[in-house]
Amino acid sequence: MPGSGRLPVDDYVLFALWIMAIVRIFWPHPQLILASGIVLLTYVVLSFRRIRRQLQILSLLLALTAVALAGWLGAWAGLWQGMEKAVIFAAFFGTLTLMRATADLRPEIGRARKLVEPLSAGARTSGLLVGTNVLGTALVVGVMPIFAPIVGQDAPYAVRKSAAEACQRGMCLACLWSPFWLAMAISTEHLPDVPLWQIMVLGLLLCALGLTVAQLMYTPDVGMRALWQALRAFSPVLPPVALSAAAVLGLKAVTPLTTLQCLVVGIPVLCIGGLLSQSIDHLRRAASQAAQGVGAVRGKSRCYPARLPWAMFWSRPSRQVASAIRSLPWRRRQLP
Amino acid sequence: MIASVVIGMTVLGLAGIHQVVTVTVMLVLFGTLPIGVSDLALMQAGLLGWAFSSMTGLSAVSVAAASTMFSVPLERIAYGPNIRFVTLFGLLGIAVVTGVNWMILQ
Repeated sequence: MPGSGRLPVDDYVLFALWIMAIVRIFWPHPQLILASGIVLLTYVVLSFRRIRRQLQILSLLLALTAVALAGWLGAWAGLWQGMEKAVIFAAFFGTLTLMRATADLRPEIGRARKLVEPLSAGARTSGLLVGTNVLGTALVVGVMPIFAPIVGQDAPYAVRKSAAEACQRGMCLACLWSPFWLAMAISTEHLPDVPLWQIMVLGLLLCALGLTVAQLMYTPDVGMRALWQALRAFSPVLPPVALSAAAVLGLKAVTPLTTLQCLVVGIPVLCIGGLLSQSIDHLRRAASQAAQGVGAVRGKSRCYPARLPWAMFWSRPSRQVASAIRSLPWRRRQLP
Repeated sequence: MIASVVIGMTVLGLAGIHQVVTVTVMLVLFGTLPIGVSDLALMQAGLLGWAFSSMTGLSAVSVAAASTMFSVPLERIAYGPNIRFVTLFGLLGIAVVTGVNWMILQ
């Protein structure tokens, strides 16, 4: 619990998972991959009893379906592979909490918060929609720890919920055209004949349509002028965010890492550098806050690491189904 | 078929199946069948489904991140007002992609 001193055992397990996942990216030794899978399984068991009953039921249903599918397809090894694959997502939350802790201590966030405070609720929502859409193109989910501190963790529940929903709308629409999302990588893997520029142009048009629909649905009273003011209120965070995006994209360009791996590896380095440029005390405070923040993953989204191994398991049967479909006798008519 | 991809991915996402799984099955299944859908339209339908699954899916990283960062229960974000947006924009998106597919096949 934040502020309650000693952390529960499962928080230490989650922290260990984060470190193992980062090391695994550079040194994917089979023993280490196996060990990280075991640590995640331990975390799943430890955390299961603390999640809400509805989510316990959902996790159990996913697990049972995965086990039934494994038995049906004879893909028992896939169950364990799902566990090992899910480790990177657990590690990603460690990076997000460090990013959030860093953002809380950076002066740019304080300046942006002061500029955002006087805005109307509609203008703020509108600014979050467009801001997360633009930055989500490169930073993907990494935009959340940047915008959340601007809204403030002491803001009323309704404000936080509305902001989270607006961020979700804006960021998720970016995947319609962004080449940095996993969605594009998987899609081009399965449909390699589609030129990237075509899908990006069509996706951009759809993204613009989506933003317009969202604007008309949720903030119809916010005009272009108010939207521009809202976007200007976020401007203090632009330089560090641009640096983060450039670092992630640069890392992606020179390494074979995925965007998610680049975020997990690159962002902590930037966070530590940024905090050290302020003072060693800032680094200490952020480290302490991040440790408490791992507890936030426990408290609010513990169910996520608990569910993910089962959700990820499905990727193996889905690939088996994909192979089976490809081997069917019919051939698809060649289309443009 | 375009609607099947988008709606299928979204509904399975709501049920907790990750979009990595659903997009793989959908693209391979509909990319293999002789159903008169161009690759471009099929890919865009898959991306629309991914966007909606990320917005409202219980297993989506983005939903979990938003829940943690804004301190809002996960299911309130997944099953919140964004479902209305997904429904309306989903219908529009399907119409646009269907129109593009029709133009390509002419």
